[in-house]
Amino acid sequence: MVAESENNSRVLEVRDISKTFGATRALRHVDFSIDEGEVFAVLGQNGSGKSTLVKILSGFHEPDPGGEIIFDGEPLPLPLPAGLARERGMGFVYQDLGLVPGMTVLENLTIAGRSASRGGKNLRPISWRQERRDARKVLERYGLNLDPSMRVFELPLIDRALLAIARAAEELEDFRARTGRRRSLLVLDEPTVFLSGGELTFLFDLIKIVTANGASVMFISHDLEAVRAVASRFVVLRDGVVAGTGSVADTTEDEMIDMIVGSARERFERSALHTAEGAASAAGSGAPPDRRVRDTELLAVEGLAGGTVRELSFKVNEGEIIGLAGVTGSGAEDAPYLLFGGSADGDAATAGTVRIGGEDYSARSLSSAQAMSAGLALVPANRPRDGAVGALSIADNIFMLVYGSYFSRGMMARRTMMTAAKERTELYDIRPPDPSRLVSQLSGGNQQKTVLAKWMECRPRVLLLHEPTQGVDVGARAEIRALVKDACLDRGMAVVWVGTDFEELAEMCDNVLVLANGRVVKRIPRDELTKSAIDEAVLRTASKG
Amino acid sequence: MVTTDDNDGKRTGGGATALAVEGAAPDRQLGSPRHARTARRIEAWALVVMWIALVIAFSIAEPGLFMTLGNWSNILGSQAVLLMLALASLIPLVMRDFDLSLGTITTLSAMVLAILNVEDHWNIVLACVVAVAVSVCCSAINALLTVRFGGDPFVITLGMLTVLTGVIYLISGSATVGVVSPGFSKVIFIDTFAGIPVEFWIGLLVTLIVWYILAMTPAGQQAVIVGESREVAKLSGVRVGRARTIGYLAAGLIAGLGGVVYAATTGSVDPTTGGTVLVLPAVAAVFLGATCITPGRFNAPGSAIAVYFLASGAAGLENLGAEDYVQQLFYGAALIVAVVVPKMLGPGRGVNFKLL
Repeated sequence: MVAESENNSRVLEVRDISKTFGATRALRHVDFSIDEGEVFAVLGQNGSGKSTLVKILSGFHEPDPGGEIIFDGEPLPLPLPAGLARERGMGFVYQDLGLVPGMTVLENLTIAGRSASRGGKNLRPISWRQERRDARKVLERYGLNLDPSMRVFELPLIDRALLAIARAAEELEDFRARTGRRRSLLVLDEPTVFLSGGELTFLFDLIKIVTANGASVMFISHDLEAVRAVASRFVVLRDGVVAGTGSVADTTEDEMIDMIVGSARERFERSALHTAEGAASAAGSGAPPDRRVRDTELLAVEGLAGGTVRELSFKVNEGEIIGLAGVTGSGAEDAPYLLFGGSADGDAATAGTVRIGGEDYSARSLSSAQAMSAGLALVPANRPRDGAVGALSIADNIFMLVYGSYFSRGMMARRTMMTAAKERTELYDIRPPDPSRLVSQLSGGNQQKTVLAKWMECRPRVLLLHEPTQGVDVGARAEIRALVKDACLDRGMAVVWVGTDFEELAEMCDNVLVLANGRVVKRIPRDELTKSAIDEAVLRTASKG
Repeated sequence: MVTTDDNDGKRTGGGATALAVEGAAPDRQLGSPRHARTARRIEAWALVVMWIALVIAFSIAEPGLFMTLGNWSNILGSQAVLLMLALASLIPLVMRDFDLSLGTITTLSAMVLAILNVEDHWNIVLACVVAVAVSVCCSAINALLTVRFGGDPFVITLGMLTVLTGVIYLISGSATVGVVSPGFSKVIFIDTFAGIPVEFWIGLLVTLIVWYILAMTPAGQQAVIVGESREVAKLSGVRVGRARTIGYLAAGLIAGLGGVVYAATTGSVDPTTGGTVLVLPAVAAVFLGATCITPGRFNAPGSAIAVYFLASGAAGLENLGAEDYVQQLFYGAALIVAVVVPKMLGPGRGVNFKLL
């Protein structure tokens, strides 16, 4: 039953795997194989199907009928029972690393064994000294100089990542020793996301040790440079299909980019189409960008630092819309919050100055209240948690920042407020147009329009947007974009638009700044601005900066 | 430095960009510097050192009064019930479950013992067993409502506390019940071993057992994992519901034992004592105890040290003639300091605990 066929040195074979979610085809007839002892990369952008693939391998999703997954010569039963992959010799390390920050390195290394302990064995004494010795040996084997009694929260991110990977590799080692099988696979899901360029060498050294010990590695990433440094073969997913495959040594970087983003010819055609459309729409509605953007500088950010942002400087004029684009960890997604007193998750600005309409503020001491009175507004990405209050009505949400204006002579002018609210729901086309309706009952698009309506009441000078059209239907998306553009034109409002929908950024923004490792690495001006240009810039610069 | 000794030299990749630059030294912490380890050790024993300092201070201030066998016998003996209550509260707290009803469970256990022994003339041993069994049943209800039905532990146990107080009044007819079997009281309260009352040794024994299970067995480690990260616990295959339930039951068992000791100590059980009056100092001791031995983690020896540190302080102050309220101030201040100081030492320090 145990197949150790000589002519088959493949650890994993994925054959004709597809996955459909309702109307979306997330994966279509994906084929690839991983050989013993190699580092195999799975490349692709957001939405390419990478994460769906990993979830299928770990047993979280069931693939469409017709596909096969063969591990070490044996076909795996589909749907894959959760946990079977681990049993057969696959280990997974995800972005969150699966470590317990409050526990020590030693305790984290032994979690798997402890968790599985049952019955009488549960009360047998632990020999901590022996375990510490064993842990030191294991850490040494992977080249990690860590003190087993350190708490994980005391470790820098790179050490945590190395620890998580070493732990998973060691579990595979145990598996091999226990079952006598030679083949095992370590799946690393986007391991480079929170690591800086210099730290990546440690990661690659560890991966080399892991493969030297006999395991194969599946390296899932959008980071082209990292992949080229550590992988021998690769497969590229684009829109759910295999867009290319080969060996890293035989493929140039440009060729790989072509596979990830689409061939140069396709990109040219797409951008030609886009500029034609862009010219048509500009002629038809609203003012072309040069008339909207005014000459006066409204927002100037210098040396901003905090969270994943290392050093960010940029300027925005009145009426101008600039976009920030970058992969997770590049700093793009932290920037808007740093300008507004810090994020709900705790990252606050540690340095930098912000000049709004000529007045200077220190980013460190800029609280949300101050930012608001200076004319900033922030539409956060996590709508249910940070954006709108679901338990309150549309009216309450829209007017929550300006209640004061409806309070006079010791009473709330509720009726006036409700009439005004009705006006607003019509103005912003919020459906259903019933101001007493609870926001939690609205669709995503209408909730977002409510959030924008709330901010517009304050007539902000600068609008900070983070993923403003995520989870919003097509119709509402168009309305939101028009809303923003009109405010820029009418009042000279400046906008900082941060998102991962590069097509939207290309359409809406006057300039796009590409961020990597907390800094701006490229500026794409209006005339070069297309989705493909942003895609390529982000890909090429992912580990620079 | 990361080494790659047993590497077969399997070079991979190679593309145009080589990210590994020879000699480049990115700034990262290598292992654990000497001074960090020593700092941790100092932190672990800080409370003990303070306790010793406290004792020395009071010995000098009250010569011939403080450092006597009689005084210490009193300090160590009188805290047995509080210690057991602290240990009982500790177990759910390790798993980030709160049980406010434990103090009332202690009183209920004592009352059941008293009624069975004094009014119904049951054999004392049998009465003890029933008292503890009743305590475990109350905890079982707590577990059912919180673990099984997902109720918030703080609110549920607060409700239970109130209900059980009513039950205590009901069964006692709102009157003090006494006197419990004098022979029993003699064994636990009056008799001494090495000059210190037996009840202290009972408390010590329970401390050792709880310490062993929490710190030295896989079961204890599973409890720690559940408390530190319920997510990781679930994903690693720990039976979280089971662990939390056992935690509540164990807490009830120890609280019940505490009630037995309480009945022996006071001889007669008054329905108005117990409840929050007992449980809050016990929880304060557990939090204070989390600053020593294994800083940042609730632990049994730390809780015991905290109980006696607080008791020594209170006794010393009393001998100096301080009024009762000074004790309250001392206990309260100790709890606040215990929770705030670790946070000041750095991010992520101190116990990671969100109440609701």
